[in-house]
Amino acid sequence: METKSTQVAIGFELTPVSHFVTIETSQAYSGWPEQKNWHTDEDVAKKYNFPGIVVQGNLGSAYISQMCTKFFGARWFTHGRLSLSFKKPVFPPQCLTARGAVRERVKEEGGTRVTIDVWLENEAAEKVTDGTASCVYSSTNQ
Amino acid sequence: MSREFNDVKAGEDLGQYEYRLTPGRILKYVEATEDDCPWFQTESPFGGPIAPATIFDNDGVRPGLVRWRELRDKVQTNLLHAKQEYEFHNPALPGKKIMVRARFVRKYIKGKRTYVTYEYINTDEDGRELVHMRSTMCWLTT
Repeated sequence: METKSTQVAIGFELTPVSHFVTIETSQAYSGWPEQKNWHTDEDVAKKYNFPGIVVQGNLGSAYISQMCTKFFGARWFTHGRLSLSFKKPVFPPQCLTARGAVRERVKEEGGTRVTIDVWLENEAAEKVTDGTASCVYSSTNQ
Repeated sequence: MSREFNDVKAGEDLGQYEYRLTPGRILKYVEATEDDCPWFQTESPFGGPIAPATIFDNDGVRPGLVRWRELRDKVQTNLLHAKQEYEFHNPALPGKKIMVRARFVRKYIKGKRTYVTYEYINTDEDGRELVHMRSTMCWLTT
């Protein structure tokens, strides 16, 4: 399942991860029915002038982390870093796709840090979330 | 500028709480995020099953963080999630007790918007630090 992440070229594009997000997806992620807020309840969302339920930004973080788990493997859980900015709201139903491309490899003491640009696209190919992910590989397991 | 924003102090403790990371909780998260990685239900490179790296996403907004909840409830209409950062240190294991502690780390103004950043650190009952997270919320002023 693990890619030889320290050996791929700068610009290498990760295998994307796509999910079709429905109202039910948003509710399941955000704790419906115990939690009633603009992520789970249409009436609450409309009260705050949203057209409908707003998907929680961190659901997209989970999708990006899924992509990173596939790319970096087990070390994602011990040496991974993820930094994200939420740019645009997501209203279901909507297909979201996590994408990434290798930005740099930097040797550090004891290993190499691989950094990738990551983002989440909506159906219009707009970036709704973007940022970076990185992971360090020790010199012995590259 | 809101009185609540002025009340926020960098370094201020937001509270702490603990809970059991049950297999059921992990399964619920895996289903909600449609994560097909087998490591979360059977075997993983760490031995038995582990939890997805981002499973603690919402721990920073749970009622256990009393001070944060108190402020959040007051400004519910104007809080937007702007950024999220993670440093993963160890995989979370099913059945372990999880300790969450949080504090404000920064507040700043950019344009007409105000932002607060708080960090939360999750450790397990064996004292292993699992993940260090930072959330930045845009705190719109009226």
